[in-house]
Amino acid sequence: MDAREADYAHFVRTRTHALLRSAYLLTGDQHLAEDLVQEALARTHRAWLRLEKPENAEAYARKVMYHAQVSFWRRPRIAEVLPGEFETDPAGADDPAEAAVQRLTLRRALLALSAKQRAVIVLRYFEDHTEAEAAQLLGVSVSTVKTQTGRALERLRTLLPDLRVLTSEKPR
Amino acid sequence: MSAPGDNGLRESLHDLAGEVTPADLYDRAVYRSRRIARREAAIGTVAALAVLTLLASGLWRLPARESGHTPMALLSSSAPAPEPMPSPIPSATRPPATPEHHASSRTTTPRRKNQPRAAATTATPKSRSLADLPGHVFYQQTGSQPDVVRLSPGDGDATTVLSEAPSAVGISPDGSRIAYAVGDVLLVGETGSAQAQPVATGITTTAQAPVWSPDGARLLVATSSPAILQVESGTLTPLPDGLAAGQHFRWSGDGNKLVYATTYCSLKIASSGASAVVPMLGDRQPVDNPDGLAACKPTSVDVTGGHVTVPLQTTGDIGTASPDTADAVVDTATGDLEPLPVAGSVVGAVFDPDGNLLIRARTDEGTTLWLFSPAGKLLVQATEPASVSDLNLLAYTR
Repeated sequence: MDAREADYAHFVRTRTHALLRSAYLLTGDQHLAEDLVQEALARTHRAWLRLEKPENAEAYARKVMYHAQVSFWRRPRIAEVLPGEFETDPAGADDPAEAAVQRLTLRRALLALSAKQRAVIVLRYFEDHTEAEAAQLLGVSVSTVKTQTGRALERLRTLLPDLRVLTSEKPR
Repeated sequence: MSAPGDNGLRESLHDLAGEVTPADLYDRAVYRSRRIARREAAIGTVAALAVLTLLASGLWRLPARESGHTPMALLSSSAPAPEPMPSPIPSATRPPATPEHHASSRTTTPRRKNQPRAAATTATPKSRSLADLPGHVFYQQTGSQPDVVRLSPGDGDATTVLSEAPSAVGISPDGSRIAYAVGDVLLVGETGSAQAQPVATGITTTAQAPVWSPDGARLLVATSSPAILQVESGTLTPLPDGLAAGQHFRWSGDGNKLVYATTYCSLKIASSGASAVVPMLGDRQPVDNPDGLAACKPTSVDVTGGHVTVPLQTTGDIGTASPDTADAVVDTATGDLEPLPVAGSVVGAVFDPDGNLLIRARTDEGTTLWLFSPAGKLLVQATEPASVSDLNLLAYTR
């Protein structure tokens, strides 16, 4: 393994998990997330020589990952969530398993969003990008990011009325 | 930064992201990168050849007002090249005799959407007698609660071994036992016997028919997640977490690999704790999967895990019910469809535990069973009894 390949291997093995975390939120599925990150890492491998500094690699991989999602946007959506799956049990609020239930419910709610809405939510609230940064990563306008963010939050509030994830306002 | 959101959502997203299982994707990424490189090289080569052809043909001397069409011709000619050509698994003992036969082979015909290739063959089988077909062939009716029928080629007798099967069934490698579920109770009985013993509870069969290990000692079943059941002891052992989301698992004949489908109709192959994606199928990138092919339900695997039979579907079929009967053979290393050197339309394909491939093909004259050895030698080509013509191929056993 030459030095460049060693650098790439080091990059993959140190940054894959961070990429997988974002991809999991984008796809809601371990296998889909792995496939998405695999594609991003493969494209990064192809571009490795052009990336002047290894520090650029993660940004490049993330951009590829989000653009791969963009290509999915034009495809017909599959009904991934059935009506009624969001019903939460208020009585379970004190249940020790509440956190796990909320994770499951949030995952289903995210899957009910369009891929574009999911992407802006992940970029804005998970990766903490600004609207301008999110727009640049997705290759869309800032106003599109604003619109999609607003629609996504509105949809999440509809789907998750009982969950505190969207009701405990604590501005950063 | 001051995003207009709230810490609740932010924290919940971080919490949810923590569910993802770490994975080492280095090998997969490099493999995928090399496939991209090969594809780009092939496209470049074809484009260059197209230019040379154009120059040689003299078309470049067309009047100026017609030269505007040239880019379209180039564009058309520079479409992605066909995949590298693996040798077909069941190679005919003699090559096709006529140019038409060659034209139907993989080397000259691009992949057709949702259509397994069925290359005509002039190969001479070792036998044309159904009685020489070893083992048993199992069929089932179409629709819900189908009857399961066993064809014993030795005497041509077709016998119903399970009436109105209440779930998907699994036939043991020697054909002597059948597993199925009534409610969530898994039952195992002798094929043809009315008696069956409960061996496990909490079983679901929607995404996983009970599947026998090649040695017949274990069953792969689905509970809350896929698990392996020791039939004698009733011990259930869940598969590793990385396989928990898989469905329609099938064992390779040597018992060392599992091929399974993802919920998005890709195939994966697992061995020794590692899992690899079978390329192309289910891939949503048009450049990598131009025909949008998908495989939602593997039905059998050869001895080494090199090939798997599937009902071929498209990415547009994802989320719909999958057929139970395979009509295509996929190379698990490349994702390519193997040409099937039989005459007629393929209506069934299945490996037995020893790697023999049984193909069922239909023509205007009737239905024929073709049996190929693991080395691709055509062993038997025999007319199928009319008594099973309306049934679907389910399994082929010893």
